[in-house]
Amino acid sequence: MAEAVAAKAKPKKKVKSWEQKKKTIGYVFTLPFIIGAFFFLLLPVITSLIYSFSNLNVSQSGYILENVGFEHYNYLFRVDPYFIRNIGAMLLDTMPNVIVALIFSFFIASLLNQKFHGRALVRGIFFMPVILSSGIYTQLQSGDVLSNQISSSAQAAASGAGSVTAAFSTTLASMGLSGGIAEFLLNSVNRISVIVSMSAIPIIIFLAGFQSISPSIFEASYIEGATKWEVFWKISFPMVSPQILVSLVYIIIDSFTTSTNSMIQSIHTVTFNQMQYGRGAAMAWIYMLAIFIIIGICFFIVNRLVFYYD
Amino acid sequence: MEISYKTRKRIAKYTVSTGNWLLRTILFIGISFVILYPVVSKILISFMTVEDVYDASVQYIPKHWTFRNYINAWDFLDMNGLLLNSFLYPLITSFVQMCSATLVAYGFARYNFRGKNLLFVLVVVAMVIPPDLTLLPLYMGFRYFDIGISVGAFRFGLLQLITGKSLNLLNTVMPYVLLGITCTGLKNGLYIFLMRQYFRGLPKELEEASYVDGASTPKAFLKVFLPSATQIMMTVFLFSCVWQWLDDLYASVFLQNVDILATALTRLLQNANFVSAGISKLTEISLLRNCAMLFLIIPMLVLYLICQKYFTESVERSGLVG
Repeated sequence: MAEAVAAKAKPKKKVKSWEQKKKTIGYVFTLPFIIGAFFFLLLPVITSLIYSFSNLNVSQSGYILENVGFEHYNYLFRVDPYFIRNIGAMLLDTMPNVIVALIFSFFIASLLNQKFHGRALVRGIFFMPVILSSGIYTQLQSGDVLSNQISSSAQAAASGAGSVTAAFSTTLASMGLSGGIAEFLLNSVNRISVIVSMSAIPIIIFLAGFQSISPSIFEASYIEGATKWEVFWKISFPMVSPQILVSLVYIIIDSFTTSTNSMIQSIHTVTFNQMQYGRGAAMAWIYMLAIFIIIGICFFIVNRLVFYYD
Repeated sequence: MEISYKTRKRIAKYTVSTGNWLLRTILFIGISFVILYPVVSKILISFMTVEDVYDASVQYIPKHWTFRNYINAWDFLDMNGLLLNSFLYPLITSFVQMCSATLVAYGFARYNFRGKNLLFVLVVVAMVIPPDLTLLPLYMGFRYFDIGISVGAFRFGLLQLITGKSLNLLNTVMPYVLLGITCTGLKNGLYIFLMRQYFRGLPKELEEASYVDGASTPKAFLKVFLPSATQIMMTVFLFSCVWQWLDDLYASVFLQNVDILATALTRLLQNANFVSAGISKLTEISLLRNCAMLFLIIPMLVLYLICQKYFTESVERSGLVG
């Protein structure tokens, strides 16, 4: 009896377990992003959804929203002859580059992962497109006469002023490849500068992947008598396959949301130059959903082929 | 003459390694050419006079070396006025972005808590959404800034309640700082992603050892994890700096009345702007634009060369992995 009273009088102090404490600390560390995700990500996204259903008029004191329902979407899907077609054309234009850039960056990363003289220099050069392929620089580049001349002569020099390309195409034809594939390969060669500039970040992602493979796995396989070729395809390749998925998603996002992308430019023009905020928001929403669908399809296909170590 | 098995094997090995070396070297030289050629020729062209551009015998090396183009471009852009802001804004922003991305990425990598996966999906969403989608609401949010919630017509704000009016944060560094602190700025999702990948790779024993030695969580983070993350932090800082410096999208919205280099350069996109300034020849315009582009990339190339060591090495794991 006395014991029971004592137990009642001194209720067990609630001690947070180590795991619970760790959970709280996890929230503390990610708090900035939790706040940001709510205020600067979710709210603006919801707001822009509301904008896309309304007309927005800016006045001195603030802005006035006027609900117009599906008018903007209706216009974009039924009236505007270019919008949907432009999205389709842009996607068809960009997807081949995405695939080629993915393969290219994978092989360059596997080469850069080897040990050789001047590796630091080569890596330095290969990551330079990070500087040269974003923002205002590319816009100026594509709009300038001299710059275009430079890049076109670089293309010509890179593909041997056409003669190598021609030889290449006849070789491909004699190998029995169909015209479509040969043309695709040739176009990829001609677009090498675009592909190289798309590949800088994926190369970094892949390199990090290659570096994270434990050396003991390689040692074990060499002791078992595996050749380098087998080691590459049976160990390196599966082990970096999660990075393939990450790089694929990154390349898609990057090439669809850079400021030189034709859709981004037209959305920007409609929103900020023509001041049609509602229609701009509707365009951005449709475009974003299109990107999401593409990423979803790619994710679904590639994720099934990815090997997860743990 | 018989060649012994050993010799043949050695020859085969030698051929393979030489072939590998040759292929690799050719590939690297070719691709380096594609990357470097536009930059090098841009620098060479910047020293040319108008006559040199038209001279068919001048291919790469100018005949009449001149600094005139640089001086013209400097004056045209009014560089003296915008130099300070152009450096200040990206540096402040990228420092803030680096710090908060480190914290958040550490939280993602080393702790398990409820809703972590959902939160990480939001990181990916932040990477995916086109900036134009949120740019307009953000513009409105910073134009009529308030501590509170505003969705569409519904608005609630503390400042509105207390002082009766909202703040205008446009044309200050505040939008960048706020977005940077909360990891929702330009390409911020990628920084979280890169750093999370790095912190995840560090062994668990490191953490446990520091706790056993009596370190508190902040101490373990500051004294054990942060020093080892210097390289990846430098990488993120470099990326962030480069992208902020080159960014004209956010700048054109948040800094409409503040001149920085990226927004000043958007004036160069249209030839008409040159004509109104008294430069009508297409070649002159092009030379001037060429130099302006060099103004844009040279500071970044210098920064890149300085940080390059950290940057290329940070890709490799620290020597902790067994």
